[in-house]
Amino acid sequence: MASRPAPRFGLAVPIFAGAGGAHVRTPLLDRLDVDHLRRALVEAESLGYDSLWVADHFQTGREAAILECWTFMSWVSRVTTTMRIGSIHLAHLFRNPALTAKLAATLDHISGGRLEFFYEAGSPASRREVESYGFGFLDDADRMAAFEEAVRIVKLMWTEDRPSFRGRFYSIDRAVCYPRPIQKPHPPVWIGTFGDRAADPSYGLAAAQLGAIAKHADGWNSTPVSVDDAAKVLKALSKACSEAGRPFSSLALSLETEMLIASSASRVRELQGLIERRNPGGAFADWARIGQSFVIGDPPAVTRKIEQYVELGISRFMIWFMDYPSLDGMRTFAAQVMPYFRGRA
Amino acid sequence: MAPGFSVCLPAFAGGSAFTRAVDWGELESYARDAEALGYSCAWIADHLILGHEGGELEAWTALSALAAATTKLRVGPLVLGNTHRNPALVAKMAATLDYLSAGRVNLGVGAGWYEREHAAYGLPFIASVGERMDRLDEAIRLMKAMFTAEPATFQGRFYRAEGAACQPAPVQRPWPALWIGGGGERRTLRIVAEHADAWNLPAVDPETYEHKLEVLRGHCAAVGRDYRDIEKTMETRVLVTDGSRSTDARLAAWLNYWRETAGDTPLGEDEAVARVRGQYIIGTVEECRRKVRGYVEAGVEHFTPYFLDYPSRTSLELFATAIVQD
Repeated sequence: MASRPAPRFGLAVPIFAGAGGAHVRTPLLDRLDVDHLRRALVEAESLGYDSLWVADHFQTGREAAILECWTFMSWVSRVTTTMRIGSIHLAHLFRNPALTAKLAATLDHISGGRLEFFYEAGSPASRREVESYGFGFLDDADRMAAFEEAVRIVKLMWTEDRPSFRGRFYSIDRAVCYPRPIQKPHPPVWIGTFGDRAADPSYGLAAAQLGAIAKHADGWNSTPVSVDDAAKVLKALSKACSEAGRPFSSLALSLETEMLIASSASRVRELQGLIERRNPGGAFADWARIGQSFVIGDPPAVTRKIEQYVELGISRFMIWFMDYPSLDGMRTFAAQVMPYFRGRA
Repeated sequence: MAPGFSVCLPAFAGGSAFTRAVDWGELESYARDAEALGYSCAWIADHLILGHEGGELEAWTALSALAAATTKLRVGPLVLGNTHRNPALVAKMAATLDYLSAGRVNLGVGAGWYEREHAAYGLPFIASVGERMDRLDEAIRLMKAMFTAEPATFQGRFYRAEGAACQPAPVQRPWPALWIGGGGERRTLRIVAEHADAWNLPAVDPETYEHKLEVLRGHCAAVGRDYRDIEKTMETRVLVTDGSRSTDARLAAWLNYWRETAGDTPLGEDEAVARVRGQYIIGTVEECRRKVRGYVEAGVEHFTPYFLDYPSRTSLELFATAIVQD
């Protein structure tokens, strides 16, 4: 079997507060505290986390308070020095794609080539948010078609001198984008899928989504998903790649997940109790079910679960630590799980 | 009273005769030196294609990075082209940067004008200046609603928001300092009178500046705004040296660069030097000091210069220590 890259672990950045049932990703965070976050990211970098990932929403979590994605990514490029910086994921409907290419080229330049460009078509669930800020929403087929045009424009602007492109949705005309990104041929392009939907043949967009990944992406990412469902999506993705004439092995595979880790199983149970009490209303009532698509347990249990994903070929992880603003989970994972995977190939 | 002063960073290639490529490290260290010298704000122009071979850093990305690399210095676009981005998103970006920087954002806005950039990037260009002004006015109203209403609903002719939250709110209340650029007497200065915390005008002679202030005073009276509440500022180019010979050498280098990149200066050498010297603040410390005094007497309260000898620190240092704070 071909050697696989050693797994790399990154942080999904808590830029919104979720406690009180406001958002499942940050269930113990009451309010944003940028000084604490800054210290946490600096420490994460020193602990060996290789990347940080920033959500792109306008109103999410407690009091709808969330930091704007691109502003935060740019700011954090001068807070960290080596971590790669990605969006999770950049909504293509929010910004003109040519301008988006320009933003990305600039950030790659400023950060010394640390940009991960994770781009997204937009889902029906985001319709209200998109329209609240005065953007037009598109139906499923048009949204995917517009997204593919946007990806093509972004890549053209990064790699060609004065590219022109005329699409149904977007056009550029001899668009200069200097300075170019530092990374050659361009920053990695990521396109994702949501949970197990992409493997569900009754989901209308499954084929288009997987096809776009096979055609345009350097990496694929999934939102939190069980090992079994990840395997199903990867099988479908592999098929989409061969249909597109693209070697599946050239695609980097990544998983966004939520992690609750503590030094002992009893401490994990205590934290689960705390999360339930702080988030009444059912989201955390059924840990057996949540545990399918999240990673929960003491270091050996977490190691085993990660290993299962790694065996599927997944080599990148974007982790939401559920105990944040405590940094214990992030530290425990770095000290007791990361060494097991370090240097493995 | 000594005027305020901030600095425009040349985030475009060939920002002076002495740079040929954009270099972020150089810009950042220049900005930090400016911070140490007492400059109140670093500005970046919002262009997509500018300078040598069109090389320019995207303004908001660069400003956000700069905010993390500084502690006292304010940061702002001078100015953001209103037609480049959805104004609701601009409000969200400004609120986030104001939060991350602990209230150090100057939000500079203008109507947008550069047709070539719009065509290249597939941004809709509005040919009618009147409509561009209407859009700027409406965009400012929408942003103010986003900064203060919770959440904001706004129905305009061009822009709308529907239950749009903008949290965390900016640290500066009610909103980040709003700078409006431009000198159009009928519309721009009316919008300044209605909305601006500070007004910025690209370099003119002192008499013209005084005239614009008269017009602004009239608009303020018409809309019931206290004229004194608006900070009067001017963007200009500055080159200071310690002897007229080296000034001329530097100026000649800059003019050569200008010819090379802009491709047109139908002026003879002497005429070009004379014109640039007349239009901007160029010369020895004493010459520049006199010129600054003339502008201050005309009503300029704050200067936002580009220094023509970037990345040298000579003009940056002399302007701050020997001229403005004279």
